[in-house]
Amino acid sequence: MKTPFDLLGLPENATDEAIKKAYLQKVRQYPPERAPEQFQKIRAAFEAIKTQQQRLKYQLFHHEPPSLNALLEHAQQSGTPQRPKVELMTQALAESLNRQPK
Amino acid sequence: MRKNKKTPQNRPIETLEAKAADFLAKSHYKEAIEAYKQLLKREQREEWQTALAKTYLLRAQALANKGLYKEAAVLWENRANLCDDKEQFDQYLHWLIQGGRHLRAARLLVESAEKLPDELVRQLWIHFGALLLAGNNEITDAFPDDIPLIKHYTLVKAALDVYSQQDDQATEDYLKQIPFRSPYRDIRTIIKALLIIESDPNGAHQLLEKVPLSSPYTHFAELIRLAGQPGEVQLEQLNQLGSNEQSLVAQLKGWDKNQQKVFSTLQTAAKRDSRKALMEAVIAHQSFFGETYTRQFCLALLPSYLPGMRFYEKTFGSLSAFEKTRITALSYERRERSHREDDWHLYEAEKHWRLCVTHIKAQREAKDKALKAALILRHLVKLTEERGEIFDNENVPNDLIHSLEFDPDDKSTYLKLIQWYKHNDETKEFNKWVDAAVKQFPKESDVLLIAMEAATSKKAFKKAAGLAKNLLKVDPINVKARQMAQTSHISHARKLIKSGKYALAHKELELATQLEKNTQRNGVIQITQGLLDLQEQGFIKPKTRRKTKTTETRTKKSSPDPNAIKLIQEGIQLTGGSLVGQFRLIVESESQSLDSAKILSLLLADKSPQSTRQEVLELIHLLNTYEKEGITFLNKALDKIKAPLQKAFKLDFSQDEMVSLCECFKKIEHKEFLKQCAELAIKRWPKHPPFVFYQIYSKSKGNIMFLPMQDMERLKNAAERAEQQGDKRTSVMIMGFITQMGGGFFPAPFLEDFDDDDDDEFFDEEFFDLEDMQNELESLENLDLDKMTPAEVIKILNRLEQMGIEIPEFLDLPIPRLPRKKPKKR
Repeated sequence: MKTPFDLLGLPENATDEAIKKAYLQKVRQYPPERAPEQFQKIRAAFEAIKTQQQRLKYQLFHHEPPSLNALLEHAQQSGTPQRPKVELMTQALAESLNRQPK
Repeated sequence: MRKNKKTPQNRPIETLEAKAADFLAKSHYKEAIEAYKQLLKREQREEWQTALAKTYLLRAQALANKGLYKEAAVLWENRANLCDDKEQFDQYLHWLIQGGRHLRAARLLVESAEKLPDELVRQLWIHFGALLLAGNNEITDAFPDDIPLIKHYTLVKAALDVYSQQDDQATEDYLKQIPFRSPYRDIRTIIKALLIIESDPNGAHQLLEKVPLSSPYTHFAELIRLAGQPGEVQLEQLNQLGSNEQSLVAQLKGWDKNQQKVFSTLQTAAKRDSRKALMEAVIAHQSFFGETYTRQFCLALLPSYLPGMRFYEKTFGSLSAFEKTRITALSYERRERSHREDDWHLYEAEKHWRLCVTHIKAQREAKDKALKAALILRHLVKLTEERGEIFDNENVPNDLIHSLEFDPDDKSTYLKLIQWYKHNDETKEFNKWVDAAVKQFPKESDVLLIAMEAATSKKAFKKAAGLAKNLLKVDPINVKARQMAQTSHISHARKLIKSGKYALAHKELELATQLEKNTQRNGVIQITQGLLDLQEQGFIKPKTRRKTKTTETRTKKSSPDPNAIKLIQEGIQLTGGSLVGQFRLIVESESQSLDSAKILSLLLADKSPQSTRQEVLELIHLLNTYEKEGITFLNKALDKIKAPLQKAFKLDFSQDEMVSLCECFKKIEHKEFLKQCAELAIKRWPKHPPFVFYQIYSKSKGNIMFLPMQDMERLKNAAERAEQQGDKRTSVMIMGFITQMGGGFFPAPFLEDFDDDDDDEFFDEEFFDLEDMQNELESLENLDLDKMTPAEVIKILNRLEQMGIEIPEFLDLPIPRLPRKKPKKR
């Protein structure tokens, strides 16, 4: 499970202003009419941490354990895409051909 | 002596044949093949050969379905030795390819391409194209050089080469040379998608969608889609990929080697599926994730992995006493959520949260110290609320009040506190906190609305009107506030009229008029105004009021002021006609202790107005409104329109309307009207549960003690019927009546046992005064237990027990019990 801070791409010590800014940016990225599910998540995240009191509540009482995927997502944040070499594509194709046909 | 073991060789042919057929029927192909082989060894019968061939094919198919393509191909070949029809040859070619016997498949395709369906051949060319690209170069030997499979192969290879060298233009040029019907059509689409995957992920996605599911490139296309999708790749998705596939995704995503190493560790931790493994994995890669992120992650993990606290402290240093207690409290809370029936976890959670508050108090200059303490105390209330025990827990108001000491600016806490005291009938505390809330939040509409209701219920109408005025300033379109403000002014005017302060009453009515909208006029103001004028003119006088110094009367006129009469008539008209209007006038007159009969005679009102169904329903609505306002003399007022109303009961009301009538008369306790309506209704709808109840209820005068067994049975049946019909309200109402401990106590049994010879002194000193006791019993008989709380009923029962009266187990009725309260402190 992602934390509201993860969802909005913010550190845990973010201010009210920074949170609002990040929220609006995300809403532009995932408008409700085009990405309703993602928008809901972002909205809920914003509601959970928008004020100092809300953040304090979150920090005090949140007890859902972070998941491996959250960690993986964090680890995937950086990186510049690269073009794979032909050999790698050949090998990957061979692996995919060996998988059970659908 | 050796046993004669039965082997297939020495079994009778008939038995073996039957066995083979049985194996085949049961899909035991391996055994069936063995049996048919044995049969053929004994005798070369054509039917057995056919059966064996069929079994080979079926077994081949079954093995292929399990992914055993090599074995499937061998079985097909075994069959081919028995017959020349080459049944399912296309399948055989696929099995050869899937089983890795590419060269044989290729040769067979070249040999028999002309005999095979075009679509199958096309599919096989695509397959061989994929195999060539995947590095199976040996198959080129089987094909002539001039076919598209070989000619286009070099083009695709070149396209891939230039793509990896980031020469997009050259890639496109090569791709353009590959015709649409080429066996490399699907890979051409994939390369096109790769070219735009960074700049236009959606476009790439659409291209990849074009690769058909039957294509050998399906999985490869999925791989590219995974790499191109926005957002992150899930661990489960990565786990399904081979190492080269993972590397390809990693490169397309731009993950470096360090990242890939971290993913690999995380994959291992995921397989171990434990919080410990997860914590270890994260801490092992602390330098990758960064110290802050790692610490936060591990801290968030602790409530679900309490033993990790030591490991955490070893890595990141000691946690404060507050943090340790907080994590422990959360840990118990988590456990409580998964084991709701176990109170122990909640008890421990609560204990630790309270300890947290103690720690906070002990901290000197901690940031948000007070707010934290307040939030924890409110959290405790929330936990109780989640368990549905909020009103039973005496700690709730204490915690809420305590939290306000730390953070007085929380409106919801005030509202909860007010709600708690209201629910528990603690009027003094309720009023105290309503006042405190208004003081703290003088411009909050919800607070003002509650305060207005509280003031109205206390009959502090002036205060209610003031609050309503404030509320309308904040929220000018609040309909409820407007109505309450108007009602408050009218009620206050009545109060002033009663005390003879007519001038002030005029002002109040004026204020009420200002709040009245033309569309919502209900005649009350006009009637009250008219009555006020008549009193002011000295034409009518309250029945009970003594003349005080403040009474402002003018000289009595010989005839009433026509304007006052006009106002009253207008009010009656606005109220909705003769019956309802007259009733409103009666109630308004009675509320001012005026003689309504005299006023009606002044109006020359019809003494027995003819009523319509609609009018009666409006009257019922009005009665319900008055009942809510707490007017107590409704029965008396109703009796003044008894004749026309009783006549109107016979009108053609629907079943639901009749229920409303009965319900209203029960509520205001007009037993005579209730009885009449119930009797009329039961004649028309004899089985309708509400009417059965109302009839019996009115017959017994609301007292179950007077109920014959037959009626009790009828009631129980009606309750069951209501339940079956989904009418929960009626079933609950009936059960509530059945299970009540009604009034009307029994004749005092002790009097019969009274022994004249008993010592008088004993009675004087040890027992009680008989006369007093008899008086007490008489007073108990007059009590209406319907209106009592269970606690009061129990008190009476206890008193009766003290007096030596046994409470009979009357019709198995449960005696009401006091609601259980939680102990104050655990």
